[in-house]
Amino acid sequence: MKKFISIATALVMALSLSVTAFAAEVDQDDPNPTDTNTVITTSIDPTYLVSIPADTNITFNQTSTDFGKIELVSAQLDPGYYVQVSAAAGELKNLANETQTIPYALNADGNAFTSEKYYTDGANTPLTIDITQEAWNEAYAGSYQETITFTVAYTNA
Amino acid sequence: MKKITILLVIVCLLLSCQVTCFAAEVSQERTAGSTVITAEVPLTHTMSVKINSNKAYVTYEGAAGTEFEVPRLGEFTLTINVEDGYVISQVFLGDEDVTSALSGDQLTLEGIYESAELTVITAKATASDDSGSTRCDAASQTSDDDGSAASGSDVAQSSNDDETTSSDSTASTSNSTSSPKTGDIRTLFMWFALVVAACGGLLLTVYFGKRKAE
Repeated sequence: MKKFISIATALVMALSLSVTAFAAEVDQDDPNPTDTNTVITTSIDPTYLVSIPADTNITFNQTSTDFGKIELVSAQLDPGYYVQVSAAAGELKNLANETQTIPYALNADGNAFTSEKYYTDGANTPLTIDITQEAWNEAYAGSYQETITFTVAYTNA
Repeated sequence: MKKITILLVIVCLLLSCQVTCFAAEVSQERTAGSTVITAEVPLTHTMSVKINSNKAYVTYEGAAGTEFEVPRLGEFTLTINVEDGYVISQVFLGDEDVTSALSGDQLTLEGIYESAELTVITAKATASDDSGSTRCDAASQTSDDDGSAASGSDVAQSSNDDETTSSDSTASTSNSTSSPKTGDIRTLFMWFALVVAACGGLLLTVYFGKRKAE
């Protein structure tokens, strides 16, 4: 029995032996040398850095406020891939009474911003926060606040 | 010896076993960042007062002045005090005529959403003006004028000239049949009564003088 186990174990281990692959040799003395190719492969993980607008205070009665910009600061992207940044506008809410709101628009070049694709570093989108004069006129007194979430996705879809 | 050999072989084989190392997977998951935006809507606005003469002044909550902090979108009342002999002709909030909001000397406004200038126009009162009233009849004409914002405030014609639609108080001189205004608003009756009394006294003096001489 012992013999059998020893042989079986030795067999299993022998099957699991690794085989060393040596590089192809090119003999300098060979009168008919053949081409020898070596394939080098490497993998670099995609990296990117996106900057989003900083916290901003909107001046009362100002209908358009510079909100900074979204920028793909640096990027090493796979071919065909891009970084997509999306955000949605909502309403500024009165801190004392959330039913009192001021609607605003998140605009880029005068159009509503929803999302943008960035392929190369340095690509950016300047944003503005626009509040109509009518909205200001109807706003109740108080402090208002809103959090805008920017979602960043790396995709080729 | 055999056992030792077998064990050594097994140890050597175990040491030479290969272990497959898989590369670390990089998953591009969604990430997010957030930004806070804030805004401050003031509780009050500045109401600056401009009066076309020094015959009136405005008070708010008991204090006189030319600038008041009034509540935003709220209701508030200003008191316009006018000297005797003068009336409030018109009141403008910015470019809007708010004379109709005047009740006596109380001007009640609401819904102010920004700082604004209140302009008070006064005019001299005429005999036809009620002694207790501080404004002319222009306001009442405005309210009776089918809702249209009649800006007329002709003080002199307010008693019986319903067709007045002039745009400012100086239009009171537009009626060519009326006398020029002098600023003396006392009636002539008193002077006539004095003349009659003086003449009567003179006649009585002459009469009694002759009678005494006889």
